Amino acid sequence: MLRELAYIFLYNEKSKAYSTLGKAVFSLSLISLLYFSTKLGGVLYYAYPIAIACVELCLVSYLKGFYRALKAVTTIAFFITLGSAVFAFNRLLGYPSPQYGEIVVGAVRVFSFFLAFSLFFQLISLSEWRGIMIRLGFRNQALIISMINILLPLTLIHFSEALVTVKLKYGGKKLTSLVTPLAFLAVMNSRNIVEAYSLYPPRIEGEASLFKPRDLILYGIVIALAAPLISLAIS
Amino acid sequence: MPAVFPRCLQIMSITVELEDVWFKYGGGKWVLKGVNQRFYEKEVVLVIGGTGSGKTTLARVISGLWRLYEGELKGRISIGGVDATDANPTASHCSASLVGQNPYLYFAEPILLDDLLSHAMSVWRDEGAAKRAVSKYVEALQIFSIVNKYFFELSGGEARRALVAKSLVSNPSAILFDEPLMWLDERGVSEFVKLVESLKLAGKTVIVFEHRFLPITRIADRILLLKDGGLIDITDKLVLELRKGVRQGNNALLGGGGRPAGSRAVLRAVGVHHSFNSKPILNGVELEVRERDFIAVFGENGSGKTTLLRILAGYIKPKKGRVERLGRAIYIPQNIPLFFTESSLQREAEAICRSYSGGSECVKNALKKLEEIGVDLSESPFNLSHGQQVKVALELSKLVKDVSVVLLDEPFSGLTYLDRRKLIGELAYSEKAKVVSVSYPDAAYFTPGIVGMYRISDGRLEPLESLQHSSFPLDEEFLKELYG
Repeated sequence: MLRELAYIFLYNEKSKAYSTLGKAVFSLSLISLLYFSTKLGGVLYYAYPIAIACVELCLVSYLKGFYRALKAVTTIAFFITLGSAVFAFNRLLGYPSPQYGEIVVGAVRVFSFFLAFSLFFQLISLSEWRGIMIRLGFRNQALIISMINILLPLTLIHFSEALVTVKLKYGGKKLTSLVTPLAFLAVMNSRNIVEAYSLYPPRIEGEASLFKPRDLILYGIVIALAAPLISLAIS
Repeated sequence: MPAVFPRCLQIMSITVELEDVWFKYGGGKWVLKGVNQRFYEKEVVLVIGGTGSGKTTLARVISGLWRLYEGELKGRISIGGVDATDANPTASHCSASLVGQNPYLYFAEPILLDDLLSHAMSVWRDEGAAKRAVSKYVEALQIFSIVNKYFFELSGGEARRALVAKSLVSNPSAILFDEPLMWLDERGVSEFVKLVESLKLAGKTVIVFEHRFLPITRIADRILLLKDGGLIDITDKLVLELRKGVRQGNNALLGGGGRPAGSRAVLRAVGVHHSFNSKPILNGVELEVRERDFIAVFGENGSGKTTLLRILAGYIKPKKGRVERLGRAIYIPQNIPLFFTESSLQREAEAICRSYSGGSECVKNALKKLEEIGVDLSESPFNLSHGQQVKVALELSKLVKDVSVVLLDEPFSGLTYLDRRKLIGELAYSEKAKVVSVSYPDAAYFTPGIVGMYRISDGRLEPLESLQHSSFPLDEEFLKELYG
C-alpha cells in the first residue's frame, strides 16, 4: 500500500513535454483553485472539487498508467474514507460534526489537494528541482538533493529489512533500536556515494525551462477551471 | 572445467602500468607494498585475495579514488601511457573506469536514461555527442528494456549492467570491477561473464577483483593473487589445481547425510501460497524442518527466497496455506549489520538477554560464548568482519531459549571460499535448525552438514538433486595456502 503511495510522488518522463514554469504554475493553480472554490455556492460548491479531482485523475492516469493510478488513488481514498467515516459515525451518535454533504465534499477536497501536491513531484524532475535551486542560489543544496534521491529508496528498503530482523530478534520489543543499524548503513552508503560521485560526477546544472508549446494545454485547463471563480469574482 | 590459456601478451599495448606502487591509509600500515604490474589491451585479469588483502584498495589506487582517503602513495601509475599518479578520480576514471560493489549508489537521477544522459553531458559537454555515446552503449549492452525504469526497480544484474553502460560513456581503455558477482544469481553471473567477453572483444582491458572467482577463471587471461601487499601471477598454479580437483572430485558434496533418529519437526510449511500485487510468488510450498536440520534454498534474485523466509519466520502471513512452528524463529538478514542494534558486543548480549528476561546467568553465558569465538566484547559489532558478524548473530540467537529455527538470508555473499567453508562448518554444528537462502549454487559445494537442498522457481519449492553429486574443484589445503 505504502509502495503504491510512494510511486505517486515519482517523476514521470511524459511530463518532459512541458516547461518547468508551466508545470509549477499548473500544480500551484490547482491548489489555489481548491482553496478559493470554498467561496462557491449552490451545485458548484459540490461539483467543483469533483471536477478538479477528475482532471487530476486523468493526468495521473496519463502519467502513471490507469492501473497504477487506480492503486495509488485507492490508497489515498482508503485513508480519507476512514477519516470521513469517523465524522459520519460521530454525527450518527449525535456528537457535533459536519453535515453528510460537507463530509463528502471535504473528503473530495482533501483527495484533490493530495493529488495536486503529488503532481508537483510527478511533473517536475529532479534535474528541474536542481535548476530551480541553482537559480535561487542554492547550488550545493542542489547536489544534496541528488544524494537524498539515492539514499531515500535504499533507506526504505533497509528499514523494511531491519524491522523484520529486530522484531524477531527481540520478540517485538525494542523496535526503536532499529535506528542504530539504519544510521550505520546511511553513513556507510554516504561514504560510498562520495566515491561514486568522485568517479561519475553528477551534472549539477539543472534544467529549468520557462516555456514549451504544450504548456498551452496546461494553461488552458487552468483557465477553464478558473472560469467559474473569475465569473463569481466579477459578478 | 575452467580453461585458462595465457596468451602472448607482449604483443598487446599496455593500458595500465603500476611501477613499484606502495599505498597506506592515513596513519595505517602499508597495504600495497611495491606492486609492479602491467595490464594489456583486450586482456581479462582476475585479481583474487583474502578478506582485507587490499583488493578494493588496489582498485581505488588505479582509479584515483585513493585521494579521498588522505592516504600516502609512492611509485608510478600510468594509464594509456600517461602518468596518472596524481590525477583526480574524475580524470583517471575517463581512462580507467571503476564499477563499484553496490551499483545502486552510482545513480544521480531516478530514471536510468536521464542518469546516463546526465553523465554523458558532463563528459562530452555536447548534447549530440552525449546522446550518441549513450545510445551506443545502451545498444551494446542491450539495456533498451530498462532505460526508462527507476534505478531502484532494477535487479542486481540489471543495475550492474546499467552501471557498466555508464562507465563506458567516457570510452575508457580499462574497466575495473570490484566484487561484481556479489548478490548475483546464476543468470546474473552468466550475463556478467558474457559482458566481460564482449568488453574484451571491444578492445578493453578488464580487471576483475572477486572473492567468488571460479565463474571468472573460464574467461580470465591471467589470474593474480594479492597477498602481503604484492601481486603474484598464479594462473598456471590455479589451472593445474582446478584440473586436478575436477579429476579427483575434491570435497564431494556430502549433502543428504540424513537426520538424527527421533528428531522432532520444528517448522512445517503446508501448501503455502503467496502473491504480491496479484503476481504469484509462492505456489503451494511444502517444507519440513527438523531439529538441528540444515536446509538450503536456492533461487534466482526475485524468486521469492526472502519472502519464504519471512513467511517461515511468521512475519508475513501467507495468502493460503499455513506454517506450523515449534517455538520462535530468528532472522539474520543478508545485510548483516541490520541485525545489530547496540554499540558493543557486551551490550548486544545484555539487550537480547533482557528482551527474554534471561537475567544475569544468560548474560554471563553469552559473554563466555562470545569470548570463545574470539571477539573483543567491548568492540562494536559493526566493526567485525562479515563472517564474524554471522557467527556472533548465531551465538546471540542461541541465547533465546524458545528459538527453534534460525533463518539466514544469503549469509555467504562477500565471503571467500575458505570463509564460506568455515561458516558452513559453524552452521552445521549449531544446535538450532537452520534454513539458509542462497542465490548461486556454488556455495553448495561446501555443504557437509546440509540435509536438504531445494530450488525455488516459479513459486515452487522442489528438492535439488543435481547438486547432491557435485564437487568443488579446490581443496581446503590449497585454499588455505592461497589465502595464507
